[in-house]
Formats: sequence, structure tokens, C-alpha cells
Amino acid sequence: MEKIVDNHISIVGLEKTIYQDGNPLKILDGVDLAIQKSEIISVLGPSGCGKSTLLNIIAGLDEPDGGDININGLDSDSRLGSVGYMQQKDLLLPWRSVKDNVILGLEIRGVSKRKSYQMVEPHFQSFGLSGFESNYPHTLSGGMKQRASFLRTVITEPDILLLDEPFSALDALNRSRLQMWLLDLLEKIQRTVLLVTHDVDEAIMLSDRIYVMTSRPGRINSVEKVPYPRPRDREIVNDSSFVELKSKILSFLWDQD
Amino acid sequence: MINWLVKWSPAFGIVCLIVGAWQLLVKIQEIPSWLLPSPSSVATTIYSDHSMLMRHTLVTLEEIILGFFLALAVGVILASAICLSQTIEKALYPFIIASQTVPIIVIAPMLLVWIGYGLAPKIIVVALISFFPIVVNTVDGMKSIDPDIQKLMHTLGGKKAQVFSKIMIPSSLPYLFSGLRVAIAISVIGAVIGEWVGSSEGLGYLMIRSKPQFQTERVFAAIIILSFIGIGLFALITYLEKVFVPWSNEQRN
Repeated sequence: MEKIVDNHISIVGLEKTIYQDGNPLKILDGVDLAIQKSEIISVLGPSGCGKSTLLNIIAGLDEPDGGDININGLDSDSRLGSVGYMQQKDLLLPWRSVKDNVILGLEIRGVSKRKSYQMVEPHFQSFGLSGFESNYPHTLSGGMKQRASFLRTVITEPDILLLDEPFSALDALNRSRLQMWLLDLLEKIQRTVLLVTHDVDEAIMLSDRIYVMTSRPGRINSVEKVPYPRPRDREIVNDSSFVELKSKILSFLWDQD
Repeated sequence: MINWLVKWSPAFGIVCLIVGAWQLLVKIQEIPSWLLPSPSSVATTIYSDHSMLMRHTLVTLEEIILGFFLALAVGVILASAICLSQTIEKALYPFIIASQTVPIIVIAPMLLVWIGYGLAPKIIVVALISFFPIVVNTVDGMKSIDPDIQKLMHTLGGKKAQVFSKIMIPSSLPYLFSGLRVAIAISVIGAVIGEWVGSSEGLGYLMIRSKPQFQTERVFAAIIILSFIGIGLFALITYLEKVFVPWSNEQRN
């Protein structure tokens, strides 16, 4: 019982079945997650293992068929709008400048435009967006768009961040830069993070623990602890323990399909 | 200006070719002008009758613009209602489509009987044929929003009204403008049909009156002025789109 109180996100036996052309399709089959405050957790799994469904449920966009989900004691209605959810695409609105995109969440909460601008202003520097506040999204690089999308997600100060493959659209160099930037940012703002990814390196590099899922119906196959304290150095990829952990996780994933 | 001339030089080329061939044909075949006037005699008519033509042009232009704005207002309101409520969509859409299958040439004389002889029936005829592309395009635009953006709005705590005002309206604008371009072109036809059925002024009236009087030059003069009105208004809408929806091209690419 004590453990549940400690956990920021606690999920027990989560089940979800969807219907495709009337046929039931089990997506999640008893998923358990226990995440502490300020932990960075990755969820790794083959395509179609229900990772996105899991995030949708945690965000409050979807309801599970069975099992318990507890986030600071909130039910799904109040989860919506309180959990920050960053999707794969940057989803910046093409008709809004960077500045106006970033304040979208504040605007929805009824914060005045002037106040919103004051709130985002100090962050443009650390998000690498200064000088581009009035630009339209199509004039930005992929990395900048993603950082703008990040700023939009964190500016409303949700204490939980759900990140659904946020770097998958970027090239390898930009991806690795943005990963280090994110680690740096999370040192400063201390959030509970649930990151869904395909990329084993990314999962090890960024997270404290890794949940490896089975293919559909999704279950937790194993939970791996990443042995590096934060803040981390990019060089850890060359450690033998990094390579070992990577090959262990890969073998779990390969055994699927 | 030079760039503009170069850009449209193919269109000018075609116009020159057609006008030249036409002039030549009329000259060589000695076609009487009541049957087919030469371009030069049409040009002369436009010049000599310009004040009379201008008077009729302004009448027709007024009908087009007022009818177009009525279509815009009705079109956007209908499109919004259709997108906000599936019940309204199911209730209205069949009738909106049906309204386009009834020949306007049948409805126009009835409007005359119902609401009289003035400006109003012409405006209604214009609006009746031009609201359709506005509704259809705007509905498509509002419905084309990315489901992921819908998700984003929900996770940011956005309510239905906010999704409508902050997402659906702006993302429908490029589609609305496509609809407006089609609408303005057919508005011109609407105004002429409205005048044919019963009027005492306007370019449509001028055409219908000049034909039995064998003043075919005037018929052609009216056609040419109507073409310029259509092209001019179309260009104006394209320009307004660039001003008000500068992201339009980016979004479509």
C-alpha cells in the first residue's frame, strides 16, 4: 500500500480491447507500470504493441476496459489537460507564429495574451528559439519545430510529460543533439516523463528505467534499470555496460514477432 | 509590370490569335455584323457607347457583389452548422445538394413572381448558385483537420468551442478561398440569368434587348465586359487570399 502512495503514476493490470470491423482485438493485456516522481521511463516495444494506446489512456483520451490507473488520485476527466502529451509530429499550427503556437495551451486556459507572452518570453533562449519568435513554423528546421512543440507542452507546467517518439522525424545528428538537450532541460525542470520509442539507444540514453513490451496484445516483458546517474554524458554509448544492456533489450525485442 | 506581362504572355498570345483570326474571317467572308461583328467593330462600340455600357456594368456588378456576399454569409453559417452537428448535417446536406439540381432558369422567374422586380431577386439568384461551392469547400476544410491536432487540443484541455474557433475556422480558410474563386465565377452567370428573366438594366438585360435589334456588337461588348469582371474579381480573391491566408500554400504542400 505504501508503494502506491509513493508512485506518481501507478498502473495495475490495464486492459484494452478495440473492435475492428466488429472483431475484438486485444491491444493491452494486463500492463503494470509504477513510476516515481521525476523519474524518466521509456517504453520500448515492437510496432503495434499498444504503446500509443497506453499513452492515450494515461493522457485521459481513452478509457481502459479493465485494471486500475492512478495518477495523483485523478480520474480520466481531470487527467485531460493536466498531463502534457507530446505526439510524434510537431503539430504546430501553420497559421500561427512560433510565439502564438507556444501559448496555445495557456490561451485555452484563459490566460491573457499579454500574460502568456510574458510567461514564454524567458524560455525562448534555452529552447533555441530566440530570434524566431515571430516566424511561421514552415520556416523552421525540424529540430526547432520539435523544441517549439516541447515548449508548448511544458509551458502549462504539467507535472507528467508523455512523449510519443518525439525525435523519430529527425536525422541522426539532430536526434542525438535534441536528446542531450532534453536531458539537460529535464535536469532543470524535474518532471515525471514517460517516453515511448523504437530506438533502444535513445531509451538507454534518456531514461532511468526501461519497460520492454511484448507484441500485441501488449504486456510488460521486462523492466530494465539503466545504471547511469543523471546528468549523463553522450560518451556513455561507448561503455561496455551500455552495449550489454542494449543487446539484452534487443534480444527481448527480437524474440517477439 | 514586365514580370506580370511575361507571366501572362501565353494568355495574351491566345487572345491575339483568336482576335486576329476572327477579324480576318469576318473580313474575308464578308460576314454581316448582325451575324458576327468583327473585333474592331466591337471595340468601336465599347468606345462609343462607353457611358451606357458603364451604367449597365455597375448594375450587374452590384448584383454580383451583393449576391456573392450573401452567398458567403449563408455558406459559412451553413458549413459551420454542418460541422458542429451531425444532426444538422444529415438534415440539411440533402437539401443543399438538391438546391443545385433544380435549374436556376426555372427558379428565377418564380422568384420574380414571389418577391418582385427589383434588385432582390437578382441577388438571390446569384447567391443561390454561388453558395454551393462555398459550403462544400468550407465543410471539407473544417473536416480535414488532423485527428492528432484534435488530440493535442484535448490534452491541452480544449473544449469543443475552442477546437472550432482556434482550429477548424483557420484551417478551413484555404478551402473557403478555393470555394470563393469558383463562386465568384459563377456569380457572374447568376447575375446575367437574373437579368434575363426580368429587368430593365444590367449587362444581361442589355444582351437580351440588343439581340432582337440586331445590335450584335453590343452583345459581344457585354460578353467581353462580363469576362473582365469575372477575371478581375477572381484575381482580387486570389490577392485577398495571399493577404489573409499567407500560410495557405505551405499548408497544402
